[in-house]
Amino acid sequence: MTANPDETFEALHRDHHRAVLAYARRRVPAGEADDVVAETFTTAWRNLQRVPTEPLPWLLGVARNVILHQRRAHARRDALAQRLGEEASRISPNTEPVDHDVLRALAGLAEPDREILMLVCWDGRSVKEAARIMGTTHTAARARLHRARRRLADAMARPVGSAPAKERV
Amino acid sequence: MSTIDQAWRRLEAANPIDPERLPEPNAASLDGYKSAPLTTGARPRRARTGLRPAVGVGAMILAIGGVLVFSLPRGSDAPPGVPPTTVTPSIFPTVSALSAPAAARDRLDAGGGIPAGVDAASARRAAFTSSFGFFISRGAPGDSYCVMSALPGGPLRVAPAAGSRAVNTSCAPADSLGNQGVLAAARAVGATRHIGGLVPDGIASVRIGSQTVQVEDNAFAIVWSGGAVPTEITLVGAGAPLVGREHPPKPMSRGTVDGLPSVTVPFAPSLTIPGNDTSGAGGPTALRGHRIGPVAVIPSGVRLTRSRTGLPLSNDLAFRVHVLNGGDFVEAGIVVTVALTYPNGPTLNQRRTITRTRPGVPVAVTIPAPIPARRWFGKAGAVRITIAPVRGEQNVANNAATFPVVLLAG
Repeated sequence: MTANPDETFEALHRDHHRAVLAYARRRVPAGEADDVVAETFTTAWRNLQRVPTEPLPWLLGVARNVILHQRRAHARRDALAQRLGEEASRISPNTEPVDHDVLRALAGLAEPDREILMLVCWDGRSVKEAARIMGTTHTAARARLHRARRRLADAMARPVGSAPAKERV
Repeated sequence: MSTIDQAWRRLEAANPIDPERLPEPNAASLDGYKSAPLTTGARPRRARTGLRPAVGVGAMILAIGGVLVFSLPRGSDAPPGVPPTTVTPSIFPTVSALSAPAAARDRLDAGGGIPAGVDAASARRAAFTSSFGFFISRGAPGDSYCVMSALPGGPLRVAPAAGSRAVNTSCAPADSLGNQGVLAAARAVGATRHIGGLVPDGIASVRIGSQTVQVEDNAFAIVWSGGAVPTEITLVGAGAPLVGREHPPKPMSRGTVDGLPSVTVPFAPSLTIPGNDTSGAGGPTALRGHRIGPVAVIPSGVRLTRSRTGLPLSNDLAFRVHVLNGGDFVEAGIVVTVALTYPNGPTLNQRRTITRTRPGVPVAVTIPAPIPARRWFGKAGAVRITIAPVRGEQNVANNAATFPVVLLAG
């Protein structure tokens, strides 16, 4: 980050804006996603010297923190499946029908499980990058992903409305 | 294939977002980010959210017991030193004040609500010497949000001031603003506009236009319905002389409270002493809204005109719409719609949301062209571009334009 800050930031914004926006929009409604993106890049601008050479995991980590703050404040986690469904129909009106069973199962998982599944499966991050974004170790993230995949399959196999088995998260 | 692999495949297929379909970043948002001060030094820090400390101890001392005139951004970047524009009072039909029933300082002294590991003195210093924040939140109709002083970890009880319009209020826990810690978000249901701040001791009332509301203790919120966001607010000291005027040169950061777009307007780094109280004086009425600029066809770059334009079909056929904020305010969440219509035929829509526009700064948004069934190719249709009006926009005649087109099979 030795170049002109303006140019550095513009390149950062140009290269990663969509990835951060996509990350946010997979997790929160469109209006909130714009805020998450704005907050993330505001943080990036303020801390431009600290942005690593591979900035995307860092940016997604910031975006994740922003979203977590929002969720803690407003306890909206339970509505994730509904939001995802609404989002899917709004954003991609011409694509395949939404698989509500998957979204419902995903929403029923614990947040760390859900997050690592979405990071790897939807955001296309490697397990190593997901670990950085989530602030954990590579080994822990790999184990988390393994368990999360199994829990997702279990949740999808359960009838709608049935309670999940007690799990340690 | 195992059930785990099958679940993974279904999860892959359920991905609701294709980044390629998302809007491109626009220059206006870059300007907004860069208006925030750069942090120097290499010490790693956690990402911060919410409002940020906006004034130093010195400025706070100056503020106590005096009058501060806030020149909230007219949407544009008024240079420091330029007198603020005073909007006409008539655009604030209803003003209500909410005050914290007890001084947060008292409760801090009592030790209540301070999380483990934070000593009371530090919390108090943070609350009263560095957290003079200010923001405007523009929520959905019927819903607005504010920031109030509060203790870490506990909700703030807010009651309508005597004689004011009652609104329902509730406060989120203080951690809603992240590591700011000393602020909490309060929600005022039933209002459409809101302005709030954490005020120091010695502020007796708040004036918006010609209307004055009394402030109790050291927290306040003002909620009003209808009208535009004011460009000027005056905090009136408790009998002390005028001490300064604030002209924040531009919005310096964006806070997020309850997920709504908001603009944080912290104090400018310097105070002008002494200043003159100009609030309540007459002035131009604030304007809001957008108008459509040139519309170009992507990828050819051909401009749409009032005469029929042939549009050869391609995979990336889209319209690049220029939107100009012709008002006085920064606007957020502007929805632009492209509708392709055929006489006695289908109407197909595509829309995109522009995150933010600034007065006088054109913003371009690229919207994929809606593609009709093949049988409509070669027939005369029309592309109608519409910018959804923002609240308070009076002239909507320039928010839409229609261009005759013919979609060609290429």
